[in-house]
Amino acid sequence: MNDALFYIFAVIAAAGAVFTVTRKSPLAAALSLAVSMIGLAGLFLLLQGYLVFVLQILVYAGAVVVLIIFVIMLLNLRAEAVEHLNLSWRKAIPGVVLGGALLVILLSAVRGLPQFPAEVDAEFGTVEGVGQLLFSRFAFPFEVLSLVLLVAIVGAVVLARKGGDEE
Amino acid sequence: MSVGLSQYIALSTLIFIIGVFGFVWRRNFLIVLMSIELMLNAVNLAFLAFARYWGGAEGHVLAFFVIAVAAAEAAVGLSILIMIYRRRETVDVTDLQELRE
Repeated sequence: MNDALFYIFAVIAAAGAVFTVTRKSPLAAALSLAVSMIGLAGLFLLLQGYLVFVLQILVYAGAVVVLIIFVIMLLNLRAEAVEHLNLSWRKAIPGVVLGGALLVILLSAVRGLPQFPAEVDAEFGTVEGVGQLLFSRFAFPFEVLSLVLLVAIVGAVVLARKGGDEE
Repeated sequence: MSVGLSQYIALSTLIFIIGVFGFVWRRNFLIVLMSIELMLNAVNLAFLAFARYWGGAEGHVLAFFVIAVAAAEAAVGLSILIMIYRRRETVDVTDLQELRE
């Protein structure tokens, strides 16, 4: 059952990714990205990452992609106005070869390992479990992260307001 | 074939490669940003797979940080995009190559 779910979510995530990078219309690409992220969220759930599953849907699929769609709407970007998608198969060959090499190298590194040997307690990946780590060993990066978010908010507002160009 | 670490890492690598492909090939800056998000998501999958493998939740904590930093970076990247569009009326990266000349 878990295996079937893995393949279902994997196909959703990978197909969403392929559609994201191949659509002419940026809106279609953004929606495919949301679909791919939801597929990945399902995979996180299968790996017992309950907190990350929720965060993926809330923050990534639900905020970042929505922000991208807002920008598409704001700038009124049309599909045909931007680019002509042309890729000859010959040009793609070095990329495919390198990508295949990366896949082979990484798979050979993990192939010999047993599947998922670790026994995890009930709190693994839950809000309590990750929270324990987050507020003990990772407390300092957590606080720095809040500073990063503050800087990003202020920076985005400063960059995007009108009249910033006149200086 | 029962699903183990190798399948998760293979999928993570595949999505990462798709993200790199989109980043390098596409000329629309928005799609480039989306490809960056794809790459970050693929890495999150690898983090969680290894966390499950080792039984330690540090991978979850790192994925948490990746999600938060990626959201911040998307916000700043999009405001840069808006600024560029205001000046140039284009989001084509081939029109934005002034550092090159």
